[in-house]
Amino acid sequence: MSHEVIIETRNLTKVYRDFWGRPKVQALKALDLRIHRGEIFGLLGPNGSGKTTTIKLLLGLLFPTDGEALIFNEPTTNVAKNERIGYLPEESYLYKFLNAEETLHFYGRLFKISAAERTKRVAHLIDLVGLSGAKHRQLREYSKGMQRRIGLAQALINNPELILLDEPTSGLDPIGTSEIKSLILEQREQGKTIVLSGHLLADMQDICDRIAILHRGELKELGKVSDLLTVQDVTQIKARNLTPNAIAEIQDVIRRHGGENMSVDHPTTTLEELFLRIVQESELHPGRRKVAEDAARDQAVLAKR
Amino acid sequence: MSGFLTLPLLWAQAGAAAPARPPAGAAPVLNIPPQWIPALKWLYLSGDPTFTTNDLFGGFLTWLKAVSLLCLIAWIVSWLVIGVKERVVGQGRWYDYIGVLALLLTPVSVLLRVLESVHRIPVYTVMGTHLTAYTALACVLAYLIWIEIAIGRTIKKLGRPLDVAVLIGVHLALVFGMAAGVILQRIGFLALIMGAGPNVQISTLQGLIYGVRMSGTFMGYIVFARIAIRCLNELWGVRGRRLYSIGVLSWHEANRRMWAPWVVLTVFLLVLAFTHWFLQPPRAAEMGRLYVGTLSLLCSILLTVMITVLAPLSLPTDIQQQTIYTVVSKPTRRLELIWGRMLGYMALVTVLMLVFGGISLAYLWKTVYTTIETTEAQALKAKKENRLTEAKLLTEQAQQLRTRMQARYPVMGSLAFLDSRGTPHAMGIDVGQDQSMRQPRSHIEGATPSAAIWSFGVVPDPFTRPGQPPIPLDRRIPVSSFLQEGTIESALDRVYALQMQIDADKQAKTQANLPASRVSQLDAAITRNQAELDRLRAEYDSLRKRADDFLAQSAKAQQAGHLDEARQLKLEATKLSSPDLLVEMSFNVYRTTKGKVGEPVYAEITAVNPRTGREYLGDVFAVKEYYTNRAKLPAWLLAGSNGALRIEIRCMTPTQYLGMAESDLYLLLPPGNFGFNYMKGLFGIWLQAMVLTAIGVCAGTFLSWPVALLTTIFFFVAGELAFAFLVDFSRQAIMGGGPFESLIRLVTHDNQMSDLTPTAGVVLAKTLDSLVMPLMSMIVYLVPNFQALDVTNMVADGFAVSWRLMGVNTLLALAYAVPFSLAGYLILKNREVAA
Repeated sequence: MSHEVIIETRNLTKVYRDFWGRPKVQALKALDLRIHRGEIFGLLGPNGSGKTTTIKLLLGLLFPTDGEALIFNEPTTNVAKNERIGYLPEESYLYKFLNAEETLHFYGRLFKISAAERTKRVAHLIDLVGLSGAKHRQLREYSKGMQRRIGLAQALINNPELILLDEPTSGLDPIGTSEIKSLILEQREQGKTIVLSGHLLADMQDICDRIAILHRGELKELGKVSDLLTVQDVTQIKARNLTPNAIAEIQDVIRRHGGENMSVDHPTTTLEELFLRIVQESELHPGRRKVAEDAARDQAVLAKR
Repeated sequence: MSGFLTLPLLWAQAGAAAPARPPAGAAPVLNIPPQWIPALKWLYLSGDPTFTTNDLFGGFLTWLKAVSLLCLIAWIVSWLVIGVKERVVGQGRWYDYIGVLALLLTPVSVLLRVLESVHRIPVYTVMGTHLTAYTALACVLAYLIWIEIAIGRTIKKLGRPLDVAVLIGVHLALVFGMAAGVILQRIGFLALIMGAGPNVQISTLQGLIYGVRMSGTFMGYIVFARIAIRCLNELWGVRGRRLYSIGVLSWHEANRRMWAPWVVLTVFLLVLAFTHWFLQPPRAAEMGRLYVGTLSLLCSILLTVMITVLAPLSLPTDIQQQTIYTVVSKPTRRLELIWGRMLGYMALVTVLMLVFGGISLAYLWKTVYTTIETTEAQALKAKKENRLTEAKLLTEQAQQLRTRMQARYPVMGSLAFLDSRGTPHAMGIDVGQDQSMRQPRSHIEGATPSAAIWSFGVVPDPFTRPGQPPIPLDRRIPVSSFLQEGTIESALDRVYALQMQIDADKQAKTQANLPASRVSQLDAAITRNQAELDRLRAEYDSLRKRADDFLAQSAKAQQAGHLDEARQLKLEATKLSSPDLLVEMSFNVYRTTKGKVGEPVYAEITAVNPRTGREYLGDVFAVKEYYTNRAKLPAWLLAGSNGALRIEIRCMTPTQYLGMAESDLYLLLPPGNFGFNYMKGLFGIWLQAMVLTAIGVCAGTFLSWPVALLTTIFFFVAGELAFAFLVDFSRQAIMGGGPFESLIRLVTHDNQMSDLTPTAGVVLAKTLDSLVMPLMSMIVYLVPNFQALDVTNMVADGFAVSWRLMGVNTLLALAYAVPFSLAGYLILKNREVAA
């Protein structure tokens, strides 16, 4: 991650007004952010917290009521800067009457890309997002997940330096989510800056370098994910194959050194990890497997006998 | 407001601009050095909203003035709206109260004026001026104060440095205009242009008021420049690939989402399939006109309806479905969004037009041309069977049908009249309402020296005001198009031209104090031209001799009974001569007495070459009412004419009158291809579609699709069906008052002419009319003249659509389409697409 600032907002404020100009909603309040080249930055918050508004302000789709935003050190109204930006909107706002290839060619022509290069990129991106088999179907026939994929492909058509993704995993199944997350990480590896918004905490936790937590338009927290998630006054010790005696001794040592609120249990994995592991195993060994509830039922039957 | 109302109507048609009133003739009365006069003329030309020149530059200047004034109004209104919405003004400060006071005082002032005019209250005067004038002035001042403060404060708070510069520029332009008005008054120029004469004093106040009027134009230029700079900046970034991309998107959208071209094509084919069921021409000769007119109308309706629906739906749908987010977040310029859409739709219109044109021509070929051939065959059969009257009728029918299915190029002259005493006039006898028509039609009296004279060449405008230098009109005949190269007449034309050149050189030599070098130059030219003349004369004599020989041999062959050989020889002789000049005439007859039933009115045609003096006396012919008369003039008449000719028509029947307008007689150039002319006619519909697309897309930038659709429909209906009414409306030439007064007349069954009793309702209606009429009059400057772009009637009448007309119409269409598309860009640029 470099120290070059790609996005900077100063006192960025947005108030939505009604027809008569009366303030209706204050969507964003004096947001100050600096996002650096090469980082994955997450905008986190519940619905209506101002995440999408921030992204729209950065793209010039909305005008700030107060303050300013700079991208590549240029005002957001400068159209030329969009040559270096990729954007995936919250929903897949794409033209449903075009097919995948036509869609990517349409967006590709908006950039300064030669026809040969564009054709190459279109083929590559369709392959990358896994739509090779459906590239000649109109988008109106696509599922929501497929639409997100083609949406992501259009955001990458210009090989952008800055990628703005508004809830990129919304509507995707866990496999799709995982693939998108891998893709985002790949892009970061290539030195690109990624800003994504969402409210799925696990997704954000997995991939973001830094996050900003917004609530009702106000910035509540900002920092590195690892720093924010670390509970400074709790120490966790992980070990394998300890006997009960060894555990008792350890607890005794901790007590002697003034430790408290001690809990001893087995660590759990995340649901996402479990799901992925099961799917991977299933692909390797097809066929019905005994699930946890089946095992519990078998034990109950045996107990009755 | 009067300045706006009196603007010349370029919006209506470039040719309708006010004619020039050059003040050059009065230069000696001005109290300034002569070198200042050109600058003054430019000042006057560029500042006065009602003055222009009668040429292409004048048309452009008028367009610029109208657009600049609209820019100024839009600039003021937009800053006021921003100021109110952003709470910069309208917060209950002292100047807001002044604004409210003006708003309240305006209807009161108008009401007082109306009460005065209907004599419900006496006319109060203070120091010789009406009290209502003071109240009106107070309103204007109050508005000015509020507007000045509102705009100043808003720009100070929210504007950029360039906006501040524009604000300063506008004020400087105001001062400049007022100063110019006073200066023009002081040096006597104002008296001159107002036609007051040198002895009439124009007051300083009048000069100041005139200056304010000019200021409006100058202030408009400043705002126009600001907008032009912004648009040029945007234009600099426009790229063809993005326009193409958005164009392709629009194309696919129309095809796949709306199915528009397929629907239109299906309707076209369906209507065409049953056309012959319900299209019955009133006369057989009208068949071509009816079919061509109907097919053009069908194309026009289908294409304009398609565009009226497609264009205003595109952007609002894009915004509503938020698909625009992914487009504007790319390096797409707002102007590209507008022009790209227009490009896509116009590509669609072009393809459909070519398809419709092709199908229509095939249909016309199958119906009209088949009818012509059948009629000609019937005529031939009737002639063979000695049914001569029927044969003549059928031949006439076929000829009329053929005439309509051509692309005739008329060469128009300038019409003037001689009255029954032989005195020249610009107009003939007025027998009724014909004078108020678009082309005034007047009459000549039968069996008197009265005559209608069509003059060709560079001729003086017969409508030049008495005492003013005549305005020359260029009505020259393209001689080379009539006299074919290598013919007797062409050789004779060159002989005349050379002879005239030699005579001119000899005349020049007779001038006193001519330098010796010039004399030797002229001598050399005369000698050279004389040798060439001798050669040409020999060539001419040789051609004549060959023609005479062919004719003599033909006569001998005929006597010997070798008819084929005689015909061939005669044909050879004909080839050596240029074909006769074809003249078409369509006069109407005004009968003072019924005369004998069925007896025609007769007329006589004579033609004179004014340069050679050679004259041709034509036959007396019966005037075909409601049909076209044709006459032939020998080609030799044009030899040596240099494009000049005079054709005189006299009515030979006593006590009857022959009516004519300028376009009722013309020479015909060889006709062009009908199919090509039909496609040129469809180009007029293409231009209509282009303007409509610009309006639709512009409306879609800030309105929801139903409102944008209604707006586009309104513009089309107003421009196509009600443009003449709107022009009269803007000139306040509609009888019966404004909309509210008309409503009262409608309800009370009062006619348009009678004065209404000044009841409270009438006074209220007149007051409301006075308030809304000036605002409504502005519409005429926004509504395009769709009628002017439609030239399909010319095609249906069998006349060629000239390239010049197409060029003028293209400029006219662009004069509307470009401002509308740029207005759309400015609106889209300043709106939040994601709001």
